[in-house]
Amino acid sequence: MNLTHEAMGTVVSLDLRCEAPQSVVARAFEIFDEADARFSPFRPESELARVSRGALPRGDASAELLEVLELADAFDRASGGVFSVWRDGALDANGVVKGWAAQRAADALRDGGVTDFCLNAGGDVIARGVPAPGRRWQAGIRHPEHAERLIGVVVLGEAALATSGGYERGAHIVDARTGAASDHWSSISVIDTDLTVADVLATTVFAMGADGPAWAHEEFGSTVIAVDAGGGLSVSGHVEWARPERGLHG
Amino acid sequence: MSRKWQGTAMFAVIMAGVSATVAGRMLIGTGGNDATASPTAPAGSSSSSNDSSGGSSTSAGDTVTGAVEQTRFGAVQVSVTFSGSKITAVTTLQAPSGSGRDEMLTQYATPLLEQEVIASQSARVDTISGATYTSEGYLASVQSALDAHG
Repeated sequence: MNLTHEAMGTVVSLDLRCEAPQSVVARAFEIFDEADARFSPFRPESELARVSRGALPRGDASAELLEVLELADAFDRASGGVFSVWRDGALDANGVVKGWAAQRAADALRDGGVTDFCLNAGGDVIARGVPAPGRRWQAGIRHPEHAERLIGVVVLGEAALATSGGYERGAHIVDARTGAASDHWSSISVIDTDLTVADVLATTVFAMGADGPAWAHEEFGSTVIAVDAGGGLSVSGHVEWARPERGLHG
Repeated sequence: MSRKWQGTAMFAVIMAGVSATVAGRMLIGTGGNDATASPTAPAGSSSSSNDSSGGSSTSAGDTVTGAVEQTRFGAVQVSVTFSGSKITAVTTLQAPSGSGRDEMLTQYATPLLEQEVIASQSARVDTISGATYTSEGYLASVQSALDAHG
């Protein structure tokens, strides 16, 4: 069963392959709505906006907001400032919130007894269990220039996958150290056990440029699939590419 | 860039707070070591069937020729060489050519990676990463096809 939910300016798609209590599914979608309300940089009364302009002291902020800001600070430091939630003196946590919310939703599903599902939040993917007995979840990676095409299909299994490309809204993934748009890569995909990490690293590696994939692999153990501006594909880490099913049997 | 970051107390505290699963790193792999191996050209395996009625085994089950699959990029046909249940080589018998291929990706790091990636394009897709609101229609279309397929 496939369910969709609009939140955070995108579509969240939940592919269920097992029984799932309706209340658990509703709670999972609600996590996106709550994150949307709490972290929107566009709503003046969102908690993030109030902290950003000093109307709410950080010490009085919710546990969720503190968790996201601490996580963002840690990635800021780890990347030498390439990743940052500060933009022109204001907080913008969009680079971390979508993956974080989707990871929390996936955790809520699993904690609620939902065993087999694939959650796709605007292109950020996390899969649990199996799509069918004997199969593993497989995810296509969209082509950086042609939305109707795929670079390839990977066997994701029970992992998370996020892809950053120049096609993303805002169109510019900038290196926060310089404010300059990065043009080294046309697409960066990161596979990790955790979708928060995969989402942040996909953006950070893209912004970091040539050193990004090796950095993410060495520091986090994540796998990176990179397409450079000239269309060349390279892989840091181990990727299991999916294989055609029909007509092939060993 | 801090190379010591994962060892800091801050990292441990934050990651423990965020998700217990983060601690369990996975897919720290061979770094593509396999990709340095030359794919074995399966001698005598090219009795390629040009229909789509399924694959055929041509050498005592060691090399299996796949059916011709129509992909978004054009027709794809591969053969797969097995050692037991382990794949030792994927050989591309047909691959998209012309503009579709050119617009896809112009180069790959290694021949084996190229073969694996091309073969994967005709594999089953459960979901798509990197899609944004611009491609929701496509996502829905793919999803409906998957639903219809069952």
